[in-house]
Amino acid sequence: MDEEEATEEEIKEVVIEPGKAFIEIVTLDSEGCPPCQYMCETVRKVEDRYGEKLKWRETLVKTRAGIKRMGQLGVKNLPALLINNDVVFDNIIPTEKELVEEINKRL
Amino acid sequence: MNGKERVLRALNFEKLDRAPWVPYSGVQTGNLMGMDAETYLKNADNIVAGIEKAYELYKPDGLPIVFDIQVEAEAIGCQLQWSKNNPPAVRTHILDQVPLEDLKIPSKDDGRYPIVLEAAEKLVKSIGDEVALYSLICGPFTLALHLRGTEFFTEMIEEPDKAKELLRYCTEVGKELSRLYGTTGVPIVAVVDPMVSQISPRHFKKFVTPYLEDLNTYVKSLGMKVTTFCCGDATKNLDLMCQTNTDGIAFDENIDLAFAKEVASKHKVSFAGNLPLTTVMLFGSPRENVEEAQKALDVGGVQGFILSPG
Repeated sequence: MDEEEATEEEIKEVVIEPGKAFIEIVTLDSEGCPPCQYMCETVRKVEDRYGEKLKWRETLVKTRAGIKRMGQLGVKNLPALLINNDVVFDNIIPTEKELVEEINKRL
Repeated sequence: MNGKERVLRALNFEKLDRAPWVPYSGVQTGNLMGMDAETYLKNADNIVAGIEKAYELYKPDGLPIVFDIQVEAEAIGCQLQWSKNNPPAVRTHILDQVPLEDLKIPSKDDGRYPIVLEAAEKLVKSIGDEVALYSLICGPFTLALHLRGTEFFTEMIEEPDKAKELLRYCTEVGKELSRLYGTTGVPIVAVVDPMVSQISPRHFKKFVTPYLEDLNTYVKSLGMKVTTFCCGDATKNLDLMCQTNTDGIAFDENIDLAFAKEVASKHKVSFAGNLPLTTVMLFGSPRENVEEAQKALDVGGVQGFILSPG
């Protein structure tokens, strides 16, 4: 699992590397919000096929750092799925196929 | 007029002396009791004590009994993952292991049904005359996701008949739990379907409307009020939600209250919301919370509006 923990202190900027995709899912909390949970689950279902080429993390807006990050990214709705800092799925959970297509475009 | 009457009249879209206040005291109520979510949600007496405490502290007009929409999935056979401060999350999807035709409709003895029904019965007796108690059930669309997992989205596109078959089953599960809650004397069923914000109006009409309408009509036939909860930006589907024979809709801060009022009022449906959860309720000062509530009350008015967290 390449999931990175988003902390209260600081949320690191996403570094975009050529040939790689970084997914950031901005959520209320995937433990208590079904739409957030299922958006994360869609990513978990495809992550194995990409190995080192795909990293992802969940950014919770239940922290001040998360709220700040949401503003920086221009995210308006939750949950939102970003790939390489672009909002790609805004309050719409993609199918596996749709997600794979969007990841592949960026590799 | 007491709180219960005020909420029930709001759900009739009647003009009132003031808007009712219904805080969604969920797992947070466990916190009031110094308990984690699992300890709280697995014991009827803990739930009763927590809700009675919330009634005393928050002076509400209405309260949910148990805010956990994983109860049905657990009773059907999904494994849950418990955490300290949140309701449990569904971790395994039963339809990965068992075909739909082998699933039964849970009865009063399955999973945590005995716990939530006992809590409901006791609360109806202790505070149910003064406060409007809401029994929460999982909406058919969200329950389908719990049982099937995210493959359900693919199924909606590639095998719609299979998806509809599952939704029919989920509707029957909801009807039965509503009926069981009805036997305890709880006056309101809240159908909580957060996943409906995640689909287009076209899919809503196809995969949500028929099932919600069927469920809501059934709940009303039991002599109970029914209201429909969503979460996230369901703006695009709000009008359709009002057209499911529901008495009310409830939504969070992602939906503009003035817009919701306009849509709901057109259908003479109650509308509940939407104090911002994190920016105001979690991080704001008491004064900021009061100001936000006042703004919502000014916009919502006194006909059909119920002040609630988002």
